[in-house]
Amino acid sequence: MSTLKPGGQGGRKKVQVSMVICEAEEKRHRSGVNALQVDPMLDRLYSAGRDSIVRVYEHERYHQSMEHHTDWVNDIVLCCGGRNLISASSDTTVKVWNAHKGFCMSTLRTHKDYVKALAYAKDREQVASAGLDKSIYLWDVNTLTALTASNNTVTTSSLGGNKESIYSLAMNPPGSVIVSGSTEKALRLWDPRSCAKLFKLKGHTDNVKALVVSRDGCHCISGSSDCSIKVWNLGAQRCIQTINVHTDSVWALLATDNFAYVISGGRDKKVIMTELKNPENSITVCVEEAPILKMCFTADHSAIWVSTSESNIRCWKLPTEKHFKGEASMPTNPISLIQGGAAIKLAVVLNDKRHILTKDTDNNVAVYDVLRARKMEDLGPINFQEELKNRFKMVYVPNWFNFDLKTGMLTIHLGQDEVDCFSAWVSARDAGVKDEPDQKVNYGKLLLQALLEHWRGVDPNIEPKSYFSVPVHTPLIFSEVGGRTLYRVLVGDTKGETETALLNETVPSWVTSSLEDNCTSKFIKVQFYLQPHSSVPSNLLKQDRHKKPDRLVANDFIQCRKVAEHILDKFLGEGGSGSPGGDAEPTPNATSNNGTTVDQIELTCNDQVLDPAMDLRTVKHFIWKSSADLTLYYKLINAK
Amino acid sequence: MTILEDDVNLESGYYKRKYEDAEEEEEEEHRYPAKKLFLRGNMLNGYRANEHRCIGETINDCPVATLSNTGNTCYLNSVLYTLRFAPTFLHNLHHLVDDLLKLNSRVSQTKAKSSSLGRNVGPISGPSSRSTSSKDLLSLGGLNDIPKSKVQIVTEKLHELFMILHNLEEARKKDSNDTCQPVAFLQAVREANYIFEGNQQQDAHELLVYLLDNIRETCDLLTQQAQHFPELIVDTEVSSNSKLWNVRKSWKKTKKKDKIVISEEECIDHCVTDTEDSNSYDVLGPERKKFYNFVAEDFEGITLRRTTCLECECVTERKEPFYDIPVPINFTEDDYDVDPSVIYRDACVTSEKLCDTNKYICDNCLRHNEASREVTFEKLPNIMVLQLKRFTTTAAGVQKVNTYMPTPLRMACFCESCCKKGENSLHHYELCCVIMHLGAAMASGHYIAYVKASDQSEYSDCSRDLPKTTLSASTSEKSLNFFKYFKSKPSSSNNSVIEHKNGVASKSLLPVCKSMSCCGVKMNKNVVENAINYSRRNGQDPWRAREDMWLECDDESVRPITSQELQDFLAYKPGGTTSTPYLLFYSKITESSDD
Repeated sequence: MSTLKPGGQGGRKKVQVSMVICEAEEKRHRSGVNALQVDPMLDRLYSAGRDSIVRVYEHERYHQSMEHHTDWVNDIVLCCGGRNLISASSDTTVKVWNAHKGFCMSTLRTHKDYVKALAYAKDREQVASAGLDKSIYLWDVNTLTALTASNNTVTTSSLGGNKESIYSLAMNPPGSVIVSGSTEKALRLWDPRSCAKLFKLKGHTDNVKALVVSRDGCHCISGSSDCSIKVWNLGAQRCIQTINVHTDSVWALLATDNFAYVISGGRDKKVIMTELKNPENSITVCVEEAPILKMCFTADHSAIWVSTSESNIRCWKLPTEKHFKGEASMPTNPISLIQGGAAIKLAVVLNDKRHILTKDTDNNVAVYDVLRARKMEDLGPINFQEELKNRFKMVYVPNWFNFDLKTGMLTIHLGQDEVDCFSAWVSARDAGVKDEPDQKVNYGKLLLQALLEHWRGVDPNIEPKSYFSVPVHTPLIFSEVGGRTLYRVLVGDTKGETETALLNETVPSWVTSSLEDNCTSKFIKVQFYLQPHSSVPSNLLKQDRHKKPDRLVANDFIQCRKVAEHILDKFLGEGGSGSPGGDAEPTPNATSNNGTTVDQIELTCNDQVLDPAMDLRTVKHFIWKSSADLTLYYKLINAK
Repeated sequence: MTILEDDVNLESGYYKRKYEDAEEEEEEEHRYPAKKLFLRGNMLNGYRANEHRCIGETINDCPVATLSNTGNTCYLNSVLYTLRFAPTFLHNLHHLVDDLLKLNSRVSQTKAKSSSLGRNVGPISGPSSRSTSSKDLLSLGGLNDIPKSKVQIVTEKLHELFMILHNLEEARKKDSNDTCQPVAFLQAVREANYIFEGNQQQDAHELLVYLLDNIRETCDLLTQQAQHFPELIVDTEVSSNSKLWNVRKSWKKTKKKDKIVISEEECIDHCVTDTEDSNSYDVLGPERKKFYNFVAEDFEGITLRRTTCLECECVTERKEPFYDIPVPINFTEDDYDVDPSVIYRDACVTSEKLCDTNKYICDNCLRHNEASREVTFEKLPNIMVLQLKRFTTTAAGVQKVNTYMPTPLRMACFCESCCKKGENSLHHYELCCVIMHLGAAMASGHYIAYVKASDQSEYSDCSRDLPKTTLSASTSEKSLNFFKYFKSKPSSSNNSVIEHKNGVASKSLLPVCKSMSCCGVKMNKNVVENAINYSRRNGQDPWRAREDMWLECDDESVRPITSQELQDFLAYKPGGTTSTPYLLFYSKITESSDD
């Protein structure tokens, strides 16, 4: 359909432009929380969200958001005494942050797939990252924090030998041993000092998703999707204990400092504390509302923060000697709660291909406007399907964007792949930009103009660029289609000098070229036949109309009234025959020589009378309902 | 139309099917319906036009009537032999065609009534026609001028062909070749499906799939038609009897067990399990259950595709019915020591990881995640067809894989319940037919079939369609003689008791379904005895020899062989061979020890 040239990025993968529809400040987690870290010095809690944001709470109050990732943040570690934070994400990057100020210092793009786990050796300020690309990289934190724009090379050692995707990683504080857990169902161990492969521990029958190593590096505890927890003696290279306290997969583990107790949580929503010497001695710390993803000790180790696949983070008191002896019962309520927000779980694009009806985890329904990149209406906990039915409009507009909900927010993708973002032309009046029904605007182009409005790379001389503006806080993301993120910037920040320079390199040519020219040659065409209805008196028709009908071609947004004008003009009148105007020039003479007016021409399709205001693509989609060429019948009503 | 001509030939004492010219055919078509009914009526009553001629039976080379090759039709013959000897198939086919006939005559009676009121076709082909097939169906009141659906014609022709074979066996005579040319049947197939047109060699698997599909559709037509005329069901035996369509006892039991397992699973499954039943399975509802679709019952299994997101570990299950299992050939040198059952299990029950660029979109996580996917079998059919993937499409065209694959006579069941049970599996499978492909390429090769001489116990178990008096028992008895040897034999192993045999033994005095004398297999006793005597002379236990009787069916030549001989044919040949098993038919046997 479209004749647009490919991205023009040479051998590079096609680049798509995405935006996230969000609030100026997203104070609450939208979805599950994958990781937690506590800074005891500042009484801070860091939480890594599936909504791509790392949030900072000081004294249990929201302090700030650390936004730079574009996908789930899977793990975080706080290092350098709380000055720096390292994060791992499904956007395949590892980022280094200034934890105190909350900005991203550098981005490591070494991994080729989701980065699932981090491990930290405090004594050596060393961090390891691992993920679904089967590789483990070791990073020296002091080198990472010293990286600048000019000094941007970093060396890493890689630990090889893994055959499957890694889901968990652990290192002891002195950094003498590192353990990985993977879908291989076995643990693999290395010496991070020499990067030498040590050995493999078999025993689990499913993925290993949680690991802890004792300070001395002699013991290791693993939690697996086979529901078991195993304690390993690393010196003897064998499993010394299997603890079966969970009824479902074990996803999170913590061990007390002296390795006397293990705290475990998992898919069964329970957190259980077990005495390692006597596994019979176990106490349920809490039962959460969703599967447990991570746990983290509070500063005094008397309680734990627990995060789940829902957005609330709760703090639970840990049992003491008293509780284990049965002298006291466990409290049923958390001692603290950091309230999370709701994630969008369901979204349906309405027929106008502009508005999206959503439903979130609290069952609240809302309407979003893609062009304006904002929520338009909160409808509350109403029936979603009903509302969808109420909002049905018989209008067809081609798809021009994709979206996903992986972060719990709407992320809109514009590209040039299966869904061409320039395929939707609508009348300026329908789009609400100008009251000119005959002027057409392109949704994709409108949105791109709005997103890049502030970018200096756009020639300011081009006439009034955008009819819409999107909120300046809207994240704008350039990424390879189905792959890695290249650049993320807020719409309002695109005017900055560095940002402009980076955008000049990143913005794909299909975007820049579309902003400059006016795309009129790329209208989508509909092919159709016009046939007289049997009631049309043949003497009214021109001679050649009795032959086999010609195949006509028109822009897909042409309205039926235009087709009627064409019939009046070419079929019934004296003019020469031809296609209805591709450029939709209005026909001034609405009456032909035999006195028939446009209003007297009735068009039907599949025996259904067509509204003159309906466009051809809507007729084809809702009435013709076939991919074959459209056939329309015309007849005269109230003919003299 | 062909029957008519056959009939004439039978009268003249020599059976040969000829297509004279198109004109004659056309003429016959006009006379066809009435005469056909007449002929069929005769056959149902055991009437044989040439009965007087068969006085002294002589030893014939072939134990059964044979099918001649009419030019590259070995693919057809191998499939026909296989279907004829596949357990229960012939018997069920008979009842299907018989029911159709009964229903049709009912419909035509109704029609006659209404036409006497001057409303010719109206009331019947009225409002209820939905699909083209149901239209065909409605019109198949069919003893007059309206054409039947091609699907139904194929099914009926298949039955007619088996009737012809039966008649040939009944009328065994001196110096006769007992050979039939399946031209009429082939013609019907070609008319219904253009891919079998022309005289090229075809893929036997493709034909088999087509035929089974065809018969399944005919069963559905019968069901549909009966529903269109509820008033007819009351009168016909269809509704009351179809429940009683005999299912092997062992199979019945299996079904019950499978169901229990399923429900247990559903309880245990803690995950958000959405079971998307694709099309026909389970959605059929009670009406469909009323009628017995024997193809679906005997040949249909259910695969279970289970996908687990590695992030949230939610499980999604998808069930799909299947009619055969394609088996990839990955046999390596190391596999010679492996139990063949394990080779087949590992080839069919598979698991894979969805990762890298092939990640799974998890409905719960709303994103692409790694996932593990297993394909298991919730239910394996009573007759399991394994298609060895011997033909691979490469850039150079279709190539044959001649790599050896073992063909075990007995195979452990690999349905999900049996896999879980390990050693104490619920069922096992026994080889009943093999279609071999001989030659280097699909187009140039030859097909032969090995079939196990069926015990045909289903005829005695059959409680429907009993003759009004038991007088036809005499003929049936005669034809069953050979199999009686099997029935009185006590079974040797306590584990693999084939239940229906015992059941029959105790009821052997019961009258035998009269379909036996319509289209049943009637072995030439003398040939069989000779073969048994021969193996006895070679020091084999005669009982064993009877149990182990196989037939090698190579177009016009059918000869009895022992299972030992069969195993020798199927065994690994050093240096390789292009004579390779292609389609394997296994019959399900339910273990009885666990009760």
